Amino acid sequence: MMDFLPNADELRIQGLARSYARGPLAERAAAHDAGAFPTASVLGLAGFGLMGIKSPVALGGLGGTNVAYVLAIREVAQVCASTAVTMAVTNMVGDMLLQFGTAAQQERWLRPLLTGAFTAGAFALTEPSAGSDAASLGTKAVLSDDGNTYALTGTKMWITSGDVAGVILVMAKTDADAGARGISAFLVDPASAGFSVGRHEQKMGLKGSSTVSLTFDGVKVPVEDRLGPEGIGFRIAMTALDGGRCGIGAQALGIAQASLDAVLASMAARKRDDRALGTDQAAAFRIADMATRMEAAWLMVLRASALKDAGQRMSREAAMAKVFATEAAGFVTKTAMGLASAADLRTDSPIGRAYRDARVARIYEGTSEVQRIVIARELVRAS
Amino acid sequence: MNFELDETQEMIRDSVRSFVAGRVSQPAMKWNEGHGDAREALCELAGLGLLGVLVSEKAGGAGLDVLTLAISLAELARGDAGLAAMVAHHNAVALGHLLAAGYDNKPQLQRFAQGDALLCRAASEGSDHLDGATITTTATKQADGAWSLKGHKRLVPLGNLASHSIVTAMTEAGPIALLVDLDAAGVTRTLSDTLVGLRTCDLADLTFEAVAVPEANFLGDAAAVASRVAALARITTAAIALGVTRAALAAGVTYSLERKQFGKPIARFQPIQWQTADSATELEAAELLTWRAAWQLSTSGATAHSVEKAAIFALESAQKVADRALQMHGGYGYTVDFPVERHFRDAATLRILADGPDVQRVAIAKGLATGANGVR
Repeated sequence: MMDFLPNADELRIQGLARSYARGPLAERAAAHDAGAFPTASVLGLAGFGLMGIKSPVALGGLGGTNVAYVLAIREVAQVCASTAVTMAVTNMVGDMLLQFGTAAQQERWLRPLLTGAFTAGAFALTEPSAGSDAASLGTKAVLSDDGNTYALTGTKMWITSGDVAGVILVMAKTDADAGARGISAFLVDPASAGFSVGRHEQKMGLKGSSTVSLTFDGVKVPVEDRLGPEGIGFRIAMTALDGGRCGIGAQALGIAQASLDAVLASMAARKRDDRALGTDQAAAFRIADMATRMEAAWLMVLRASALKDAGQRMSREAAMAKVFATEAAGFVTKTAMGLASAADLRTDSPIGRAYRDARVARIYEGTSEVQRIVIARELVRAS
Repeated sequence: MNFELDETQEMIRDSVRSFVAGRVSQPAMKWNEGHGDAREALCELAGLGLLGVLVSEKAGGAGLDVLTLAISLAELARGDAGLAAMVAHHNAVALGHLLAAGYDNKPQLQRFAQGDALLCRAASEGSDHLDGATITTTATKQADGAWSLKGHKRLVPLGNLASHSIVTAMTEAGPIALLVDLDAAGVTRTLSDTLVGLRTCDLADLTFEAVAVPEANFLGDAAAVASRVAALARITTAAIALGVTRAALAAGVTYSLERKQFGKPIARFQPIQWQTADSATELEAAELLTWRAAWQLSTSGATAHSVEKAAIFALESAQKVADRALQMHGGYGYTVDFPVERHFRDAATLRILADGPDVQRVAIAKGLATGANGVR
């Protein structure tokens, strides 16, 4: 039966995220926007199990659904988008450990990720010349003659939390001639010799999140730290991104909500001809369009998440949700800049911050162009 | 009908273009990050005659028209929209007001026109009212004939760098304007909060606490010059938007030709091509609207709300084009290492320099309703 209401457990998880976000996180959000990595906020979220929403309670997670996950991400993003993306990537790495990892791997890597012993997890797929064309990556993993260790060599770029992560999920080629099927996934300990963190990107927004390049110079990875068999790395990455795209859609909508709330408050405070601005039709129609697009996008995010919960294939729905939600957020945050008072255009005002924060959502975890390629490909596949 | 620039316009455009290439494009990245400021560039622009564009040669200015000013600003904004905003404010809004008010103190006018001193105009009172016409600043005539000025103005371009400000204030008889020495007793200047964009543009909040303004600095009825000043603010903002648009388009094209994915430059993928084509087409339309309105302001005076149409279209095109160009850059576009990040922020902030597009839409519609703008 069709049911658009989150269940009690999902609401409980949303409530945990909301109370943390609107409590301790809200006090630190401005500092995060000024560039302070949200270490305390991430630890706080881990304390509630929110760094592994879908992971089992026994390991330190919340045993929640994908729907609970997007509800929680949206709550956090509404207050601090930098913390939300850090949380989203850590959850994504945890999900892959849960789905593809052995019990031993989960004990070694997933538990500390969930408890906050690791500040974050990182997901290293993109390279300087392998962005949208992810399958063309050049990082190599060469197995030693005795078959015990791989040596990883290559450079990764735009890696969220790459400098603070306790575990880095790295995609590398184990078979240079096999294209996407030659890619395998590895769990890399950042304390390994040959691993180094490169430049920290200075970004327009999400200033509290860390974005770095990573260099692997013959980093030794024991075979037991390979995630899944050889050759399924690209599948793991695409699976991660299907879920991740729902998370980014939810993050974008959280940012949009913050922007809409701020512009409504700003307009309520300003009057023209003694009428509240809400009665000004030019503004009223824009606000109606903002809210309507957000609502449609949110339903798409929820549906893709619910399909994932039902164990169904949802690449198309996730891509649609991601492109629609992030473009809605782009529209909402831009329109808010147009409706704001001049003073609301401060770079650190809620409207200014949302405008800067929302923009990257159409780029990372697959650009809007990549989502459209995925959608079209899925449609062709189905026809 | 002739769409070509004349020789003077071409010469000025080229000199601004080479100034931007040599003196603006690189430092703009630093100014934008709050390192150093554009004061030196402003001095050099004064040397090029760009701080008295509309002032007659007799009065020490360049004696050029609004179109030539707009062309110069568009070029300057390709390098830095915030720098162009300051030049536009001094020339069109502040000196534009002074000229429209018939100000005739030649030595003072000459100082402004030659850039020996900068002039600003403090009209906006900030966030409390959408309607810029609401003025809570007051001016009271004193027994000795001087005015006593009291009030608070926000986000005044050049407010820290200018020596003088035109200040709008209410009197019992209606709104007036005064020319105020910003070093006078009772004036406080505070650096405004940093905005999302236009970070090179000096912005100050000005407080006037019983500031005595000599009678000679009375500039008359503010309402009488309001429409001329508004038109100049709108057209120069449109010109700055054109510069941002052109810079963003060029950045997108350059990057899309360099960046390879799936074995070829991304410029060879259709979705990128469409975006580039749409951006180029919108730039062309915005430019024609802007040049025509500026030409009208230079000659007969604008009709049929051509200024408002240009301003709406140019501002909104700048946002769209900057957004597309940033998207083409992928993650690089989100970093401060590429100018397109700044174009995206500047484009959304330009509206503080004039009324926003929504206010102008209402003006166009009202004109159509009354038949006043010549369409019906």
